[in-house]
Amino acid sequence: MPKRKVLITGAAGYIAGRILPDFRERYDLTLLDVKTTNRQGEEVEGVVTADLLDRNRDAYRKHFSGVDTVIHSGFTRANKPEDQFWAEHNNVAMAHNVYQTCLEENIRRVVVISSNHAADYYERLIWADKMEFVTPDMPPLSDNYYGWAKAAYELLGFAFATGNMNNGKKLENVQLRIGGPRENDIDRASADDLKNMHRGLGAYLSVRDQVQLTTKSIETENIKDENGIPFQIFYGVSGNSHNFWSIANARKIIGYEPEDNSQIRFADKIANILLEAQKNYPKE
Amino acid sequence: MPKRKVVLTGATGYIAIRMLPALQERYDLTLLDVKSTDPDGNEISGVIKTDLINRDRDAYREYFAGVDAVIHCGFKGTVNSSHIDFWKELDNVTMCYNVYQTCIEENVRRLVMMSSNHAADYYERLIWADKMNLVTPDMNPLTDNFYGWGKISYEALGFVFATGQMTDGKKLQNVQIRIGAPRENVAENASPDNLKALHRGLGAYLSVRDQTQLVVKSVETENIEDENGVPFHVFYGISGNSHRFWSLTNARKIIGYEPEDDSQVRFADQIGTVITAAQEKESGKQ
Repeated sequence: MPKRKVLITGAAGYIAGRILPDFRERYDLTLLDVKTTNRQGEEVEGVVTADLLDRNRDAYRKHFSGVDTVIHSGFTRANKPEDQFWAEHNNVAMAHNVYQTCLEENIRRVVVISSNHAADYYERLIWADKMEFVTPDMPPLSDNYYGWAKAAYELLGFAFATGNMNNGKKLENVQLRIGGPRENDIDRASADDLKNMHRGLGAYLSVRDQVQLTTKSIETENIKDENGIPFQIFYGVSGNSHNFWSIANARKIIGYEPEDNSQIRFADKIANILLEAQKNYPKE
Repeated sequence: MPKRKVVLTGATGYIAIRMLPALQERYDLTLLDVKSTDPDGNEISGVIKTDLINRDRDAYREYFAGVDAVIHCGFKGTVNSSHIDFWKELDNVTMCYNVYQTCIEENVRRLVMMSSNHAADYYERLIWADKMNLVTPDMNPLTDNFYGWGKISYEALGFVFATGQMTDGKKLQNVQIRIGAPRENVAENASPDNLKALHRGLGAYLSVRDQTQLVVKSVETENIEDENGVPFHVFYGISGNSHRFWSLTNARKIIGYEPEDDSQVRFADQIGTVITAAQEKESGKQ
């Protein structure tokens, strides 16, 4: 069987870099980015340069042609703080260009890399003990431009999934709200701030769980919601005992079965911190 | 007591015109728009021409200085009624950002933003398919078109500004009004064969005096903080219609909105004809 044709945007970026070795095995990849080197300045093999901010979609349309699935990890950031909103404004425009090109080129599905920041306002409530758990069906509230852009392009994805503006032609799409995709949050944890440790452990996403979540988001045949709209939002976190974002819908809809739990993975480091905290534990 | 200083953007547009006489009476108004004539071509006196899509906020900053509240009705129109021009809607989001940011910089106390029921219009598909009954402003805003998407995006941006997180803790109080159907013809052309369309029109109706009351109370109610201290609200802009399918409960509670009109009574004569005809058709079947 020929490999599935998959296009990855932002292919030289950090999030794409984590899944790339596995995806090169599994799929027939097209890699797009505005640069061909990663954060470390190393050349990423096979990257074609294209700027998806260009409103002229003919400039990159050919790369989308004949592709089964697009993984959109492309992202732009501001050079100076006062431009932060405009950079996020551009990220929304870029997502639109990707959705619209996918629709025009008959792409079956888009998997968009979003972020937990799409609903990060709820974290303020969680750490203030006013809330306990966030589910992907809550209104996405953010208190910053970065999160605002994520919410805006997720909801734009919903509009494309309905097909209402495209004569009923629906663009299937999945939004992955990436949590903490790194191994070192625990190294910054201390006995004086156990909430901070809880945050790091709850948000943790391992490489292999990211690969599994993304792969299943691509390959699961039916991602329709209860009203027939092929649109889902999943939190991109491992199966952490410390989770405060729900992955129940990812387990149910695409059969996500995370292999990692930060509590076990980092058990040695956690144990030291907890033993330190126990010294100040209130006596009965 | 001196009148409250209020800026009205999109001042020559349809929504602004409806409440202009009452607002002129009540406030010391500054009128902004890109043109000085209303949709019928009549000159509106006192309009200052300025383009709020301009990213250089110094071009219009002076009009916001010393102002108590801004009522933002400015809008770049979507000519195509199927709401499929994404870039126009993105310009509307840009315009709102410029208004929010200028209000913060010029210490404007409150912003009242005209939004639309289309911010959550996807739910209507479910309502008319009998899968849902009532939409509340705290639901996840879902839309199936770019027009509604623009509304969602700038409402959510309003929340960011209300938290103060991006502005050194300085919060911009703001209210988003999701206008329903601001017109008197909601029961005209109704047919006994499509009572859902009649129900839609009657449920969405917003009278001029109720629009005015809702906006004035949104400007003047002192405390609009939510239960977590964020000064932000979304209200549906409709009259007290028995046929409503969008909730007014939060507007009644938070700013004391007491609509005077109910479309069912206001248009009773027109409705009577239609539902009587429907009744006759029903009895004819028996």
